[in-house]
Amino acid sequence: MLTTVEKDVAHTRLQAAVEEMCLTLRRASRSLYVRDAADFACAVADLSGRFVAYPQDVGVSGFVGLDLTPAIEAATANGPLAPGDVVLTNDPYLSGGLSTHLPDVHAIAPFFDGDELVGYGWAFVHVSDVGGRVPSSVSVLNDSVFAEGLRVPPVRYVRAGTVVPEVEAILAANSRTPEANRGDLHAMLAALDTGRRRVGELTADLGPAGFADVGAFAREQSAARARSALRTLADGTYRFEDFLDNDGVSGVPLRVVVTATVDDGAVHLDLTGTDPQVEAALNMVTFGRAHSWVVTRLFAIVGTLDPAVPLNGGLMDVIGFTAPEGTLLNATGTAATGVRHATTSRVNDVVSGALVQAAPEVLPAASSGLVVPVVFAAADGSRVDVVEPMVGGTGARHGADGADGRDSGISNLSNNPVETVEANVSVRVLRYALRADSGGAGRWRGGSGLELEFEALTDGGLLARGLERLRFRPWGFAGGRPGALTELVVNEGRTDERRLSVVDVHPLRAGDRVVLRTSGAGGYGDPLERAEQAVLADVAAGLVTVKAALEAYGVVVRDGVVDTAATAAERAGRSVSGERTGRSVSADGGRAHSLGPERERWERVFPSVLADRLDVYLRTLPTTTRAARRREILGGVLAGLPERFPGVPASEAASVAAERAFAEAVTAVAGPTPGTA
Amino acid sequence: MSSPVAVPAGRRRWRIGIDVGGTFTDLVAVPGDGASWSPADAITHKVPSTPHDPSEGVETGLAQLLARGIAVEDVAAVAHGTTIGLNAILQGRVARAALVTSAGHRDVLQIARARMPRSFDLHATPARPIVPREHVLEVAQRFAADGAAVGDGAGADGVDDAELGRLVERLAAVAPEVVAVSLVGGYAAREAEQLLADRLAAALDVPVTSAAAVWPEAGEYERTTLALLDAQITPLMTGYFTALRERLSRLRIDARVYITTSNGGSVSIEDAIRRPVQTVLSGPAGGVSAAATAWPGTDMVTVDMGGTSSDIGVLRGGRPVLTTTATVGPHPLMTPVVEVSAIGAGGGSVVSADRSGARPVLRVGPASVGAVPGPAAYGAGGTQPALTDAYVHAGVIDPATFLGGTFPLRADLATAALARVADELRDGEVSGAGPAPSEAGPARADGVTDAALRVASVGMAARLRTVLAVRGEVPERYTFVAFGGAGGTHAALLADEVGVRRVLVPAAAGTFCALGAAIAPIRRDVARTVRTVVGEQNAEALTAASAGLEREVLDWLRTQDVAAAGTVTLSADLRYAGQPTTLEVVLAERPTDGAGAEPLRLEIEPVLRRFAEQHERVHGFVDPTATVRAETLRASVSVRLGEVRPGHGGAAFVKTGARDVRYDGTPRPASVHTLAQDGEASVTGPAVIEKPDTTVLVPAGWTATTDDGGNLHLVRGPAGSGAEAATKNEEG
Repeated sequence: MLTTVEKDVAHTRLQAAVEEMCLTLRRASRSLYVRDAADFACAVADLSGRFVAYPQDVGVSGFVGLDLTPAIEAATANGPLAPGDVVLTNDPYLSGGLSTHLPDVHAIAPFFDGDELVGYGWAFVHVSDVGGRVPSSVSVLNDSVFAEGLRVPPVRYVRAGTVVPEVEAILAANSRTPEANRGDLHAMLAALDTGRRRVGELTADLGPAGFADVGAFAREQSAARARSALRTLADGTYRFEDFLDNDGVSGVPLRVVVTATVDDGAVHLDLTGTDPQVEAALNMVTFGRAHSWVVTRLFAIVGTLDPAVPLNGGLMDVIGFTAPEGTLLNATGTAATGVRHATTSRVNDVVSGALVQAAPEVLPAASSGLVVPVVFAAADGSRVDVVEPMVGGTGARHGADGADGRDSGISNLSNNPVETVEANVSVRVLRYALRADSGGAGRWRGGSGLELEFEALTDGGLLARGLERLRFRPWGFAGGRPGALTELVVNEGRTDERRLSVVDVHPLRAGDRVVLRTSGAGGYGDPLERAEQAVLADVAAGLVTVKAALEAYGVVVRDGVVDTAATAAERAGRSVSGERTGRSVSADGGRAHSLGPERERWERVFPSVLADRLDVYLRTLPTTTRAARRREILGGVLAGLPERFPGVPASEAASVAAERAFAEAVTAVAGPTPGTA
Repeated sequence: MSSPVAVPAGRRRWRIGIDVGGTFTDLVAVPGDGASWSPADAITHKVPSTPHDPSEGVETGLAQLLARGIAVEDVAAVAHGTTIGLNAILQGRVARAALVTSAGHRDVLQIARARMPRSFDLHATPARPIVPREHVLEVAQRFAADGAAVGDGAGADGVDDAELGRLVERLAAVAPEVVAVSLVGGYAAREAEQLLADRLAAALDVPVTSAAAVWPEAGEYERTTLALLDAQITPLMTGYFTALRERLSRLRIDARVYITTSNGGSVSIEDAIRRPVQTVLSGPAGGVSAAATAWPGTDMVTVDMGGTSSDIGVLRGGRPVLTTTATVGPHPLMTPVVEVSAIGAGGGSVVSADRSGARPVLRVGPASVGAVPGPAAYGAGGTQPALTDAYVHAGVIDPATFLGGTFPLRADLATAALARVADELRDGEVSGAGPAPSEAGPARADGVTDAALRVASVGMAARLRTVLAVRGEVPERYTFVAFGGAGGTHAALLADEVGVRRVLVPAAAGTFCALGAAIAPIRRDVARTVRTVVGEQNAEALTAASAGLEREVLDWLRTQDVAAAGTVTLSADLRYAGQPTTLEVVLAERPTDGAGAEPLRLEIEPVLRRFAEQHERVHGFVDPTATVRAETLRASVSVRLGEVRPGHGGAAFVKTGARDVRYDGTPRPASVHTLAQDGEASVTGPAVIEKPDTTVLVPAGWTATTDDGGNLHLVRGPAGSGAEAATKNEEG
């Protein structure tokens, strides 16, 4: 029986081992995804299939809660793993949810002490291309997993230390970038070798039983720390919902709903009510179990309250999850998954929106909620370059403004120096700046979005996947206002001005100017309570205009100073006149969230209670028909509303008609509303 | 407070190195006439630092050092390392600065590189920009990647008089003490940016720094930050260096004064005044620099274990590994800097019970007991045990002979403090921290001591491995050079943990950084963004650009007033087209005395071969079909000032006693030794070697020898290969 000190020290050594694995992988990789975007990770699991040690700050953190067990079971259906074997898989369905989209290739190596299996090494890399309809394999317009590339079930890629040539040949034949992929796969093998060596040193000291003890100890330690961090949340049940701009195939938005139950440091997320899986690449495969990639906001809450918590599978011990089959968060069959991060990023928002009610002084208002790699493609297709990966800001919270122009909520990417961009890409970056008046007003202001304006120096194409928050604002909380909407405009102010909302590839002519303004994050607390000097500082810095200082905050700034008397009068007048209640409120539980006029208009026509009943009906249909049926019903109602609804208001008559139309449509399929029959 | 070495009779010239630390100002005089010398010839001296004006302590120390028998006229040079620039930046005590940048790019500092400090942290807050947004002003002028002006300004720098007038007016409203100008694309248009800076300086009557003049490399955020840091510390550093010169002239020292720099070299004081940002990370570079000079050609990891942390530097083939991604606080430094990384605990790191998980576990650090009250054993009221208390309880440090007996310790207080942690670790579970609380204090402290030493070693080993793994290296082939108060105490334990077989403890380990200042080479780095294919068709263009950089560093060298010859190293940051990271590859190395005469002619083929070799070593593959591109050209001039003679056998140990020493969880009888002229040639562990400035643990399985320079050589394995063993390289 090992002492606590011995177990703790062994865990430190394991921790070093996984970081060394990651560094080995990063050095040997040839792909931009690994070196620039850090889209890879490595870890060591014990026989439970859960990770015992996971890198604290190299690579992707969000996979810390993965479970290797289903993939290992699939791989061992035809015989147990032997020393020197490495299993490869990339298919979300066939790997039991280990992989979340096809470009993520996962590798698992069994680790032995003598001939006794003690655990597993794991690595994954987002490789450059796995075939499919489009280069790089990812497009929201892919309508099934078969369009997304080669599906690799868990198979032995290496057998007893030797790469299986037949498997390698199949992989190479199914990629547009076989050499780069092979480099990435071999980088993973190098990382797994490093892990095997280090784990071997440990098991030589500890033996298989000792290694198992260390794993159990590490997971128990982190689970206990996670539980005590989450005890900060008040027990109770909290619901919240938010929207994706569209379903990838039409203009109909997608709803994500969570009901979060907090019970003594354990959190259960029930995603029931979330829309059906769609015929676009926005689906997530979870098998209805708590999947690491959909609960990262809970990891972030734990990490916020306990920054030193060791990352490992123990974090999952305090998390429960429900998602009905056939929905966005438990897709089945052959639904496409390439852009699943857009969906999971909205899951982050609804989890925050629910749990901010349980810990209003810990959780922030909504962050900007988007990552858009703005891409300029040469006209002849010879080059495709990211100009800047655009994000917005982080939400304000009790006691602090949000961060301006930075948001690590989805991935913590570095930007590209403008000077490097201009040397390599045929564009001139005219403006790369914070976006004034975009952060939601509040006692604490939401983070500002960014503004990128560039001129095409040659003909080419604009790509902007992940474009979100053009229709529904990042919400504010406790009186804080929502942030500004995203805008994407080509040739703004010119006669050929175009406002874009969905971008596949938009052609650009030399001299065309593109401006992307990302959404601002939500504010927190009543803007009329924001300190005058804080408003003045924002005005001085140019992040809030004098006009917005007056309109949003009731602060009168004249000649660079606050007019105290006028401000007092302004603020008092608004409190009396009740203008503060002008904020909109979620119809169903998110009492303190300000959602913005677009959500107000939307929910007037499509109230949650009806949407829930529609969802119950849709779930009675065959999985593959649900999305189309929903689109048909909502589309019929939207046909009577302005084209840019809810971005623009409908006339009262049209609104009333649409309200009635939706209610009737739901009643027609789901029966009358209970209690009104 | 002086070393026991007497000043030798007979005239010789001296080079004096000075390192100003938080507590002490260390001075080292070494023979400065260019000949080789032994560390035993060095004269060391220590005086208390004077934080209100560090130059005061420098003057006091110099006066006392001279009084020990060095004639003023025999001082050949004074080399000084200072951290006042660094401290000013970290504490925000810097000049009020304004920034002028190109229209549309006002938020270059706010956006920075867009990353958040941590991912799983909803409260993560980016560092505050170095200059507030309202102090950043825009001008229309900017440049394309080829240096062509973009925009429609009218002046030679693209800014007409009317726009300049408006800019000056807005700048005046900010009332800056210093201004930096950093335009987008300015790195490719140095003259134009400098002209704008000059016009602004004339109009505003404050110093105006052109970022492109400081470091003309692409990367607007990093270059702008560098220029602002330089501008912000200029008034303070100018004041300090001026005061220093006055104090030296009061002592009638008219020798040249050199200031150590972050790249492990030194520059004339005039150059340091002109460009103070080059000095900010010189402190940690000192020890690495000293190791480079003392043991040339050796693969070394320096382990500087001080009060609050342990820092490591890496030398490959005796050359310090530099980085261009160092930071000062949150601010990036894009110039080449000796890479020094913190790996964990120091002697003052707190030993505590962490009860945040399911089971209580022992932690060492990251908190420190600080200089006051210090470890419990200091008897200054400290109740929290530090790692030093564990050394005392373990018997590694003798309370009576600590620091040569000048600072007696209280072992009973160390034991009591450690025993309290044992109680906190107990939680109704078998925690492995020792016997039950009913046991006597010393027995309870044993378990905590064992755990603390182990946790510290394993924690440091983990970080050490990671730091090396970033560069594709493993620790086994390196020699540790251990210094700082606890370096020698812990180095062999750390070596055992990572498989290192050789440890050097330099003579005067406590003043190693001052020695580094005394013997730092004169050095300057320059760089230029080029972005070109490396191929025969570009050989002439690359040669011309490199020759230009070579001229630049040679012109600079002539201003430094050094007689000795040195080396110009021309290099380039190369990558395969489409690859995100570069490798620095040497293009040519040329002597400074011949370089001007012999025209440069770059051979492309060997450069490509070296790139391929390096790429194979670091990244594990080569791609013979890919185009190789050069991003940045670099030149570095370095002139070494005298050589340290490698130590030879001959010195010896005298046994002064024996005591039980605990490590690896077991008490063992150990012999205790000091250095002497005559005695045993080697010491076999378990043993302790007590030096005036540090205590060195020689664990079982290790053998220690010494040399006539006073350096200790610890080798794992039996005695035999002698003093040179520790610096012998294995093929790597």
